[in-house]
Amino acid sequence: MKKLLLLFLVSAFLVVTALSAEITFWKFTDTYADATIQRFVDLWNEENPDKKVVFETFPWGDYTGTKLTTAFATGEGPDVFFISPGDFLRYVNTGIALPLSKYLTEDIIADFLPETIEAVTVGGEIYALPLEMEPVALFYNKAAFEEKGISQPQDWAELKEAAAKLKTADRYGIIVEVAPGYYQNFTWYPFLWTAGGDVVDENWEKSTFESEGAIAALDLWGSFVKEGLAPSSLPAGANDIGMFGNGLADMIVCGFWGVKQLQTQFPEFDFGVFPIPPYEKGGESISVYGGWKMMLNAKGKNTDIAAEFARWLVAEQIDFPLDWCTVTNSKFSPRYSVLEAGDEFYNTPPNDVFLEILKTSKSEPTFTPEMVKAVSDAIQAVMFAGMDPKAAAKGASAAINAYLSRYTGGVPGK
Amino acid sequence: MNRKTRERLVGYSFIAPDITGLIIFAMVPAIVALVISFFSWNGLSDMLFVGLDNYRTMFQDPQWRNSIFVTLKYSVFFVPLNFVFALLLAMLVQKPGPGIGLFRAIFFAPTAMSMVAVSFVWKYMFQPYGFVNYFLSFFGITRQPLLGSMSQALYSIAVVSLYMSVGYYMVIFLAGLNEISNEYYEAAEIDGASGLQKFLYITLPLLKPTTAFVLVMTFLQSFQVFDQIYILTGGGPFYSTSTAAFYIYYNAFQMYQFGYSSAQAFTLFAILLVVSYFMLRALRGGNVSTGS
Repeated sequence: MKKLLLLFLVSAFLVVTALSAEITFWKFTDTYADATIQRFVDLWNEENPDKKVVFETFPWGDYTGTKLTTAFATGEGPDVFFISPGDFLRYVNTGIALPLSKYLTEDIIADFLPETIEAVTVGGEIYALPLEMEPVALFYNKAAFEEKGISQPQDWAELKEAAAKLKTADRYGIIVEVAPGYYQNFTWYPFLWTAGGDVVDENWEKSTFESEGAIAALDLWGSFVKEGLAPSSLPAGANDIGMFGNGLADMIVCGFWGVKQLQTQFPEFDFGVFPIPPYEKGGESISVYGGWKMMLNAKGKNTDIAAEFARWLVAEQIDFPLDWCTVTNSKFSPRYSVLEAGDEFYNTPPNDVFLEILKTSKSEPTFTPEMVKAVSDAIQAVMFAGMDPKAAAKGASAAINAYLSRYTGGVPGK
Repeated sequence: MNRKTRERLVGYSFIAPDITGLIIFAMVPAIVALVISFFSWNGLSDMLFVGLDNYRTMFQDPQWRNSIFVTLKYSVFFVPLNFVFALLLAMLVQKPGPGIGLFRAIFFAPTAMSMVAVSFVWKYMFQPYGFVNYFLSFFGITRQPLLGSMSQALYSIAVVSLYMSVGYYMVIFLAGLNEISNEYYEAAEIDGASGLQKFLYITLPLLKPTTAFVLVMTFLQSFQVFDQIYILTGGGPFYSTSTAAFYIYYNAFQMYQFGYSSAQAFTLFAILLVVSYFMLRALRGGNVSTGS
């Protein structure tokens, strides 16, 4: 009798285990913000004990370097994961990204800003859920500006002048990213677009990089370093606004996330924000917004449940996106309902400046690594190798065209 | 089973775990990498057989050639300096005396530290307003860009490598120096040899086996330098610190070209194998007991 009972219990356990699904959810480690995600994962697990989500994070360098790639290469990729705009297309083109359109109702899609959905659409199919938008702007030290009698620069010439006036023996005028890679390109794009340039045409048929706009933007960033207005090396990535808070320079090109970080780490620091100045007075200022997205693994074992969880977390409820964007971090939500719920936060200075900047911001491009490299090489060559910006733009354009001539993958937004 | 067979089996059983580990974690991945080098693969989609295309691309890739040149530049700077400093330190701490053990420990200590942690600390020290520029200012040298300069970044990285490795090779040289019998030095003193003569005609020749080991190991080490570059410069500014090992990583995990990076890795392996062979041949000899 006892043996029968034991057999029954073991069998029941095995059946229950087989029926209950486990979803793996991966992200890069952010010791401050991850607790918010864990809280909502715990809430989901309480309400859905048979659809358990296991949330795991990895050091930034591992996650953005080897972790995801090696996991998918060995068939052990997570079911749900954070993906950057830079990696988005690679996962779509290789069939890793799960198409999500069938899981999203029209009401859900309508709640997202159209351009954010367009940025994650390829071939008419949605492949990720936008979670956040972080426009880039210029942060400045208000006290330093006042002391030197500097007012908000109205064009690039005034921006350089301001940086030169702010530079002293002990600090630089401005911080821009000097390390090659996605982040340098990302923070440089606003200058490229503001000067009227771009990288490729709409259909990715040819490069438009060889232009006056690109030459001007390359020249500006090159001159920041060559003229000693910006440091030629940094102790950390320029996305770490702590360097600005610590007084390495009195201006920094950084994103909306920097507001919360400065307010938390340097509560006494009186800083301000202004948009990337237009190339010439009275011209347009176009910024860029980045932001990680949630992608699902098409080769996962429980895609429907993974989609249910991701949709619940990011697209159906307001609580998590509102907390994520306005309490835990300073980010814009891509959803109208969350933007409305966070209205007070977004209209509080200096967030209101970012709200204005967002209106003329474009989504971070989801270029392939080859295109990113071509742009990166041009910026690096002008900054460090003394290359003429015109030659650098020409070289990058040729490299992009050579790549596009053999590119067979998808085009975002098409 | 006779005694000799038994002894042989015992010997093999002691080295079996190490050999097994080497086979599983070194040889098998190396063979797999060689196979992958004949394919085009981005790590996510299916592998596509391309034959020798990756090798052809590599020979036409100016940045691969640049990475070999950067590696050689680094090696030419690092290997001799490491040799000289390690030998000098070994000679300084060889003679016993009060506190000599403490100095040996201090010089050896960096070897026991994490390269990543040390690199992060040096990264701060190399900043424009960092300690290195502060130290240089005592010699009237104006603020240098260091990691932010194409001409200085590689040598700055080599300084970090020297800091980490000199202590280890000091210990190797110390062992070699202690093997040289004092009788040679006493005989030389009787013949009126100076300190320099003793060093050139006794110490150096009898240190030949140790010298061979140190030079080959540091040469191999210099060709595999990665951690410091990843942390300090990420291969920049503008590929000026993009050594072969770093460029292999870059192609695999930033450009997602695993087939191409595998071809580069195998080519680097072949280069190292050939050069090490010739180095060992050239430096062989120097039996300590006979001095031949």
